[in-house]
Amino acid sequence: MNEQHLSLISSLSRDLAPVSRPPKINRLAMVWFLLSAGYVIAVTGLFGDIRQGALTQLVTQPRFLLETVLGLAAIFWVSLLAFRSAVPAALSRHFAAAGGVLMALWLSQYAIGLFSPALEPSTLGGRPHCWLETMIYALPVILAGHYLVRRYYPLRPVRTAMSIGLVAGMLPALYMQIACMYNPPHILAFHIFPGLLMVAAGAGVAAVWRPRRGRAGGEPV
Amino acid sequence: MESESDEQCWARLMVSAQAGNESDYRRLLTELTAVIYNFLRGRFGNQHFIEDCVQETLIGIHQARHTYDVNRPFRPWLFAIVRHKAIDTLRKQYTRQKVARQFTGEQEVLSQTSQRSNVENEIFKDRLLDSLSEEFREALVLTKFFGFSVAETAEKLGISKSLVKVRVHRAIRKLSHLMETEQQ
Repeated sequence: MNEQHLSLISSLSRDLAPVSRPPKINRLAMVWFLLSAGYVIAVTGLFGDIRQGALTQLVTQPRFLLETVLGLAAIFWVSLLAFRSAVPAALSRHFAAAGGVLMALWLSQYAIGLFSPALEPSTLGGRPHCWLETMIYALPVILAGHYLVRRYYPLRPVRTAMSIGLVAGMLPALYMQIACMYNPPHILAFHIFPGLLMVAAGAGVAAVWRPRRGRAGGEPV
Repeated sequence: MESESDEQCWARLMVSAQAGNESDYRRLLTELTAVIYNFLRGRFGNQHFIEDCVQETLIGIHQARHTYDVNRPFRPWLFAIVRHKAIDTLRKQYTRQKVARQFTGEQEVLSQTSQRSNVENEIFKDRLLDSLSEEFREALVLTKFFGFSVAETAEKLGISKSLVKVRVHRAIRKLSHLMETEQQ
């Protein structure tokens, strides 16, 4: 150990302030996910009616239900992995890979739907600006998520923010299949694609709004 | 009575540090410095950037100390930071001509002889760099370890500057991947 190390250690440990441990990461991710989902449902309902009979279709059409549940599970999983990536060593490769697989599995349902749709495609319930709604509704979710993970220590802040952006974009995209028309090409182009663009928005937010990395670190009590 | 393992001891010291205990924190950082140094030296050899990396890691540990959860093992938390800082420091290595000058055997490294010079042996003795393909390793060593610029490296290797950048980028990504899998 050289003088520089000793001096640095001395400087870091001098006047050491106690730090409060932030909330458990999984619990926080769950709260963020639930509040975000509630917000998306509320705000989508506020600016237009949901497609007539969509909720009944969830009960009567198993493939539609599967698609929706798979989407919900994939988004939930990615929200967990996004938050876990903000704590060193909390995210395992297997957990991250499982999130990717779930997401791919969900999105592949729409690709399959191009040839064999889960519901009879129709324009019933179409919202004129669904793609714009998807993107706008995602923004507050991204900001809230990024605000929360900044309290931790994301080793790759941009990657973490991209995962948050993915969740934020996919939540309204998923809900649009209940609130807007059901037609796989429309879903892919006007719900999923704008949702995926939010990954870039997440990266942009992370680039501008960097995590606090002052020498003090932590959350003072 | 069974003695306390390093893992338990570090976890205890970190919890104490989170509560603001200076002497425990100083002890923890002092112990970790040696561990980090040996870890990096075992993987990269006795390289100039290791000093920087150890310091960056200590600062990283300090900034992240509130994220350590006593219910989780300490080592993975620590080495996630070390790994990240090592790759980050390596990525930030730019021209360091003074380092190149320190190696009197520099020309040997760059020659096409099949024998490895002392400098090469020092660099390649660890398995981590040895697991890179020759083209990646050459580009990485010349730019990041010897401090040659991209243009100089391109000239020495007889390839384009953009290809040097690609190889360095891929070499670092591969190293990052190797270090991650090694820890899991």
